[in-house]
Amino acid sequence: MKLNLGLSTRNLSFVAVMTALCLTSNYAMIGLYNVKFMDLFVFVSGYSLGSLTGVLVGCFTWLVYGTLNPYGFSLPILVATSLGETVYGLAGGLSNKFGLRVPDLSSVGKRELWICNAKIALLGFLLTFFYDLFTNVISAITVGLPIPIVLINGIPFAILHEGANVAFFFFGGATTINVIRRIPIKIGERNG
Amino acid sequence: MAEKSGWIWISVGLLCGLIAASTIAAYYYGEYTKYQDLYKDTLQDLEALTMQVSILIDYGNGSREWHNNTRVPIGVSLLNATRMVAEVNYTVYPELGAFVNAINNVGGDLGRYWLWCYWSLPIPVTVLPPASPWAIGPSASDAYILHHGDILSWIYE
Repeated sequence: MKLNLGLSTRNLSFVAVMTALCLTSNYAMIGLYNVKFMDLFVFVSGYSLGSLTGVLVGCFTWLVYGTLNPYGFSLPILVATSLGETVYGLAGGLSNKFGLRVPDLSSVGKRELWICNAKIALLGFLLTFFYDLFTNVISAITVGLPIPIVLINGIPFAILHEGANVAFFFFGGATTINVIRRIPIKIGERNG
Repeated sequence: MAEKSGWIWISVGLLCGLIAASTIAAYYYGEYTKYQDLYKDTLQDLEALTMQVSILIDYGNGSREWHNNTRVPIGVSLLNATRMVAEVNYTVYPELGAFVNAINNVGGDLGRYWLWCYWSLPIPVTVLPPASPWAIGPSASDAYILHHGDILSWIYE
């Protein structure tokens, strides 16, 4: 039986590089609760090379980060965060597919780029909200606490997470996508 | 099409605003109920150690100052309770007790003194009130130990 997900060597290499980038930034920012570049990188991965690529980056990152984590290991929470993180990649791929156009860096300072940044920031906010909601519900079920109590107590952390992601997606979304566009992935593929 | 796309993004923005506002409202409601519960718990603890009294300061010139439901420690004397709500100048005479010379710098006029009284009627009032519901205190103010719910007055006359 042959499993073919339609992933080229280029995509798999990209998944490995982006997963490594997510992990290194996560460990570097481990002291900053709920403030991580990972969500942006997963979204950008999905946007740049498709939903499946983004999903894999999100899932692989959490499989490592959720297992080797100084704050501890919990299988249900690992499953929840791995699944939740994939939504960023999925949404990144879908937003590209359904017409979210990111202008190139020649439009720096122009209204078009600011509008695009605002759109990406809105997506970042919504995705983070659903991620926090989902993971908090799973956490509540896991530890056996009432879901509303956990959700209310998680609000300050959720606000921090959403606020940080809005800023990262706004200022880093279009820029990171443009940086990835400039990486000569296509040349490598042509040569390979 | 571009116009339609714009409205979609505006809707997404409004949805984000709604979520943010709802989240913050839920957070502050949670904080409100949490601190209300903490306040109630503290009040319960406090009630085991304190009691409430009401103290009137009548300056004799038509000016009256009520300190209603003032929380004071259990076992406190009227003099010390009064010192918690006003500036009291007093002299302690051995064997007689404390004599209040002035409250909030009012006092010392020739032929006029600070007297303390207690509310002599049941609450709610069920009997025909006498000319004054206030009865003169039976002892020096530093010797009178307050009870929960006491209504007392200082009258300058």
